[in-house]
Amino acid sequence: MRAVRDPAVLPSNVREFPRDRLTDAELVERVSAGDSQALMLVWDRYARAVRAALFASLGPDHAIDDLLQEVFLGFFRRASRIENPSALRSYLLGAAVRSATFERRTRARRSRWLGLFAANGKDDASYLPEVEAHDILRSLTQLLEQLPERAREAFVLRYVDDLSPPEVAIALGVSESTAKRAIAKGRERILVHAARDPVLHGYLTKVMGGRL
Amino acid sequence: MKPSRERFDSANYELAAEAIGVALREAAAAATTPERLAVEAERLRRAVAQSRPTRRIRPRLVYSLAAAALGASLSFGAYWLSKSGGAPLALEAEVCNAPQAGTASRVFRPAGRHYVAACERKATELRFADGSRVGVEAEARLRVQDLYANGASLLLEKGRANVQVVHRSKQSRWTVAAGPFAVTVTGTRFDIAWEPASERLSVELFEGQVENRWAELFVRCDAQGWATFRGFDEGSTVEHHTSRGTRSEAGGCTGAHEARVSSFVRFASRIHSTRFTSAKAELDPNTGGARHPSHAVRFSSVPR
Repeated sequence: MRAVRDPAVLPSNVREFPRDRLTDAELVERVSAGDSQALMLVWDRYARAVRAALFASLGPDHAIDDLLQEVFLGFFRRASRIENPSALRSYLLGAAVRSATFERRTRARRSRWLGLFAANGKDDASYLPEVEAHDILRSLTQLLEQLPERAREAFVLRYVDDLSPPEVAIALGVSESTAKRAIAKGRERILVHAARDPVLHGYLTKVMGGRL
Repeated sequence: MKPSRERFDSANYELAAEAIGVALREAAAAATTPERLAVEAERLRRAVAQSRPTRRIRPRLVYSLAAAALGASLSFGAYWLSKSGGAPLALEAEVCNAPQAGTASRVFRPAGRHYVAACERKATELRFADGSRVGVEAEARLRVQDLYANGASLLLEKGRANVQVVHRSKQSRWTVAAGPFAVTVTGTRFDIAWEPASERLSVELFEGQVENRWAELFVRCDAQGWATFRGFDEGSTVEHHTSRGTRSEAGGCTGAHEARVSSFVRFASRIHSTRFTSAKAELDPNTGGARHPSHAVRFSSVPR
């Protein structure tokens, strides 16, 4: 049975189904029909996770909010083409890490050919948390920059956004085994480098209670 | 501080990676204030107001449209080819079994045309690019006058030829001329023999090529002559169409039939038969030695 969208046409004794209880697939269907309110519900549900993925991929960066807008606008325009609407979270997070990767590539090209990298607004001061956390974050951002694209995307999706390996596979558009290999590769490289970084090593030792 | 060279215990890899993830998540959460999210939500709302979702074009519809476009272009191409008489290139002809050492078969190709003179005891075969074949029997003489994209014009100067024409389209242009006659054939296998001395033409249609079809013998003659048909089955009907009316004969004409060809009469005979064992037409224009190029014979099989 189709949900009635216009509350004005509902009988007085019938209330519209609560929008915040709609499933992802139902939200995607509504967004694909041009329902902007449904898009804002998706925003409320996933904006933080998408922003976290962008933040983890790029570090503190002034472009994060622009990319966040791009991810949701892209979803709004292409919602009808999503093949698996119930995997909306994977779709949005995958779009986020791909956007971040694309942004990195663009900057690398610019810095290589035009020398404009210095103007990218890295380390936006408004994002800086306390000093110790900032040091950890800076080290992690440098570590992530050294990873291959696929491994970085997989690591962020798996450990920052807490997606399962099958969800990572959906987000990256690869097979599950490929996603698992990418996760393992990213994890190993991060940890090998983290063991050599005094700030990260100290943080991990503290967090894990000396079990390193 | 000097960086440590130690590696993490592999058993703690997962925990360490999760700890790093938590650190990144907390940093992201700290940088994502509700006020900032509200500002961005309003920005998105304004952007959406100026944007419309794109409609999905269903793959099945795309494939259907593509198939329709392909079919239309193929149909147009086929129509254009049929209207323009086929491909602009002419058929290619190849002469087999001749010339060979020790035989008297000869092939001449003046200006790309073939003149085939079979030897005394051995037949020669002409193969065309569309799959049609013409066997030139011993002692026969055949000339390929023209090659078209959809047929050929052959001139049997002497002897017997076995013609097997591959029916491609209604636009086929296969003609075999012999003396004053021109035999037009579409999609049949037949023998044609011409005796210049007696000026006698014999056209024999073979079984299998005209099954469940009707054959038509069209004779246009400006002089008196005879047409003899042989070999069709019992129950067949022969219709003679002349400028003075149509006369039909049935039953009694089984096996053999003769028709007088009067001068200045356009004459056409149709043989209706459910099955031909063979249909043979022998034509004697009885021209008294004079050639009448207006004589024409069309012996064809047409689907019912």
